[in-house]
Parts: sequence; C-alpha cells; structure tokens
Amino acid sequence: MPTAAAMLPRVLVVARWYPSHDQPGRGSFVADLVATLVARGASVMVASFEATHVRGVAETRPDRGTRAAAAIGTAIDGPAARGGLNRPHSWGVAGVPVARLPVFLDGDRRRPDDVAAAHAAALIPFGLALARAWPFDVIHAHTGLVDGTAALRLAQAVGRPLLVTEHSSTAAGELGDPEAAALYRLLLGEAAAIGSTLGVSPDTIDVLPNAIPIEGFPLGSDRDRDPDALLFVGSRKASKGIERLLRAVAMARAERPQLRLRLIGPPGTGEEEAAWGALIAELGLTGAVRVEPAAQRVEVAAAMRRAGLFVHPSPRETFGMVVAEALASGLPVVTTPSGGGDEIVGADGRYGEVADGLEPEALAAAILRTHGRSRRPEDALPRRAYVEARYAAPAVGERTVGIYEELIAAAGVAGGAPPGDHGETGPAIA
Amino acid sequence: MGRPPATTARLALPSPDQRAAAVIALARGQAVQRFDLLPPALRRATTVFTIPPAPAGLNAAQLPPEGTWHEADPRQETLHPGELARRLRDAVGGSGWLVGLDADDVLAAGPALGAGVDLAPGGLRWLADRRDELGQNEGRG
Repeated sequence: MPTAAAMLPRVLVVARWYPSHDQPGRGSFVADLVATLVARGASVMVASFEATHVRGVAETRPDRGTRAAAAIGTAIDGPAARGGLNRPHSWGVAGVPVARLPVFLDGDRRRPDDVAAAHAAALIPFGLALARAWPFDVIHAHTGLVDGTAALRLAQAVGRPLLVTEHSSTAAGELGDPEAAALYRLLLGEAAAIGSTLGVSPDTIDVLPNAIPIEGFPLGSDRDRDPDALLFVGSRKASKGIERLLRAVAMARAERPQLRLRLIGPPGTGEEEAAWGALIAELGLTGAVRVEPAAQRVEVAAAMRRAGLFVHPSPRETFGMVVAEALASGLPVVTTPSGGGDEIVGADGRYGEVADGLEPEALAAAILRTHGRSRRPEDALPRRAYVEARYAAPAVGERTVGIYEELIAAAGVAGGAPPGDHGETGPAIA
Repeated sequence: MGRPPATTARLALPSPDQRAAAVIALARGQAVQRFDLLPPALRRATTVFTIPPAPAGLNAAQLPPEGTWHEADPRQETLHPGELARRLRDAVGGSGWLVGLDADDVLAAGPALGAGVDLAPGGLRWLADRRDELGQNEGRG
C-alpha cells in the first residue's frame, strides 16, 4: 500500500471567503492557493458559505433555522444534487468544484458560539456526504473564526487532519471576546492558544505565506513610472487605515506638493465613503486624490507598473498580498508596522520603508524618505526576485503540500482510506 | 474571469441537469437587492416568488423589470393550503429546483417538493455557479 506522503493529497478547502458571482474579488488569495495546489497535482474541492437569515418571531427562529439547515443537508445528498457542488469558470478557479453552503444566522444570536454552530450545521452534512464519495485526506480551513472552528467539528467527525491558516486581520481583536478565544483554543488544543493575545508561546504557530500569482504582476519599466504617483490598493474600510493614509499624504504634500494619491478598491460603508470625501476636501487634497472602484487583477497590475510608490497604511494585517504584488511589479513600498506588510518589506530598506509607528506623521516621513531616494531601474529586479523566491505560487504550493503530507502521515490517513479509523487528527495552525 | 481551468480535480461530477429553477425569496427588499447582483443572463432567466408590498408602504421595494416575479402572500397561502406549492411546481414545469434564500424560504419549499421537484442544496451562489458551469452566464452583473 502506498504511503500517504507518496500520494497526491485530496484537499477539502473550507473558506467563507472565496470568489463568487456577487463578490468576485473576495478571497482571491484562497483561489490563488487552490490554483497553485491543483497545478501541483493535488485534487481540491472547496466548501464555501452563503450567509443568510432566520427572520420573524424571535422565539421560533432557532427551530426554523435548524429545520432549514437540516433540509439543505438532506438536499445535498439528493440524487441530482451532485453533493451541492458546481464548477463555475467565471470566478474562483475554473473547473474546481465548490459548494456554497447556506448558513442560517439569527440576528439575535450572533455570539461566536452561535455563528460557529450555524457554520458547522451547514458544513458537516456536506462534508460527511463528500467523504463517502471522495474520501479527502486533509481539510484546509482559511481563518480560525469561523471556518476553522466549523472545520474542526467536521475533521473530528470524519477523522481527517485539519490545517488552519489565519488570514483575518481582525482575528486578534475578535479574540478579546472570551467565547471567541475559547473556540480558538479548541483549534490548538487545551494547552495552547494564539500568540500574545492568549499568552502562549508563538512556537505553536507556524507562518505560511499566501501564494502570489507572480505571473499576473509583470515587472514595470522605470520609464513608464510616475515617481510622484502614490498608489493604494485595498478596501476603503476605516479599519484599513484610510484616514491615516489621507492625513499622511496631506503632510507629505506640504513638503512635496507634486505628490498624488490613487486609491483602487471596494468602497467602505456609505458613512465611511462620505467621511473620506469630507476629509479629502478638509485636507485640501481635492484634485490630488483619485478614488476608484475595485478593479480586475490585470488593471491593478497595470496601476502598479505605472505608480512610483505603493503605500500600505493598515494598522493590522496577517499578510499583505498587495505589498508582495507591488514588489513583484518592481514598485517600492511604504508600509505601517502592521504585522503583515512590514514583515514582507523587511527592515533593511532594500524593498521599501516601514513607518516608525502608526501615526500619520510616521507614515508621511516614510513616504518622504522613500520618495526622496533615487530610483534606479536595477532596484526593481531584486524586489521581484525577492517575492518570487519567498511568495511565488510554486514555492508556497510546495510548502503547503509538504505540510499536508506531514499532517496526513502523522494522522495515519492513507490516501483513499474510508473515514473513521485514523490516528491523531488535531489541528495545525499557520 | 476565473483562473485557468484546473486539470486534476478528480471527483467525477456528472454535468448539471438542465432543469428550471425558481427562487423563493419572501423578504422582498432582500430579494430585490440580491437579485440585482446576479449575472445579467441569470437575472433574465430567473423566476422569483416574493411577497407583495405591505399596504402601509413597508417592504415596498420595486420589482426589477428583468426576470419573472410572482407575488405570493404567505398569510394568504395559509388560507389556501397547497396553493403556493402548486404555483411553485408550475413555475418549474413540474420538474426542477426550488432555491430558498432564507430559512423561511427553504421551509416554504417543503410542500412543493417531490415527484421531480427538488430543494436546491444552496442559495443564489449555488444557482449562479450552476448556470456558470452550464455556460449560461455571459457576464457578471
């Protein structure tokens, strides 16, 4: 019998963030990883979610939610339902089956336990049916709350190992809630927890970068760049540091009025968008700031080839995909010490600058330092080479599959074996 | 567009069937909002059951011009058992999928199920994915 490590793993990816018709850009990093795994020969299915509601009389909501989830669970097993899977080609990864499991959420019951239970109620019937038809070897959940906690219950039910990668920039804040922290502890086992928030050794957590589809971000030519053009790509939610960015740009323009800022990405809430508009006017940035909607990857890549400096103002990130993409395009980066972008840029100044703090003044100073530095065409190539070596899809895919194989071997799951008779299946978190 | 076709997703899924689908979305405002996000071809092809606007002007979202919309008041259906089920079955020609958006929509489909009419194992994302696999979406909305 071949060993698990010698076989290509069958991977069930659990990700509430995965591109869909209504949010085609959401969870692109998950789709990038799925594409990378498939390119390496792994067989992959995706379980994603579609949040929906239980409305009406509050007292009967739990019962109606439970009955609706059970009805969907039965429907997934129906003869024509194909396990709830479809293979869209216009979003996500073309040809890779994805299930969109309805999660019935009660507006009055949104505590972490409630939300985790609602996701598990959707995932488990699907996963059990899938394990019968396609005995997957490993489950890879993206984010601990709530994909990981739901996937843990499925992993325990089918006796498969679980890998959780944490991508949520709000996870640390959420863990301030004792109920959320308790759920997360379950992922790591009773004795472990996540980072300093929960007061345990960071050795329990490994770091696995996102896979960057580097071919989608060609190297820009120095001739085509506008050195005074600052670029931000990302959501305009307040939590992404947009106010900090605008204030920093205004401060930097006090010294270098030629600087301009372009923001590309999905809008914040109506209130947030109104606030940004007002702040742009108040800071005298009208005409110097261009706000654009979310764009396709090819358009973002083109913007990165034209800009002179990428600015990443977020206070907290788990990774910073756009930072790596900017560097791959040859664009220098200025970032806040967010725990994501700064780790990519590094402290030696070769690839950009990390602001000394989260204050707008610090970000403005970093912008001025980097903008003032002479830009040489030969600097662009090392930036790309650095990203290629550390974050390009082949390198990350190899590492990810390696982790799957370790987990599968440790759990004693032989590829294709039926669920139920396996060894240790505790989760690993990266 | 999605990423290039995968070559090694090895679960042998049969092709999706071509049966019709009808959407139950009794929360009218949500129905209109979520319908608007569907790819244009799917909007035109979709049949939706929702409630009529309330007399007091609440829940009075205008129905979009695209698609086929039926207004069905669940309270009235209570007075006429089986009527909603009959209309749902008729909407899919006696054989097809009923897609429930919210919990009550899924439960409302119950009496119409059987004899060729199935509850969809998902909501609008499932429906959009399925149409996309069938090559029936010409673009995003």
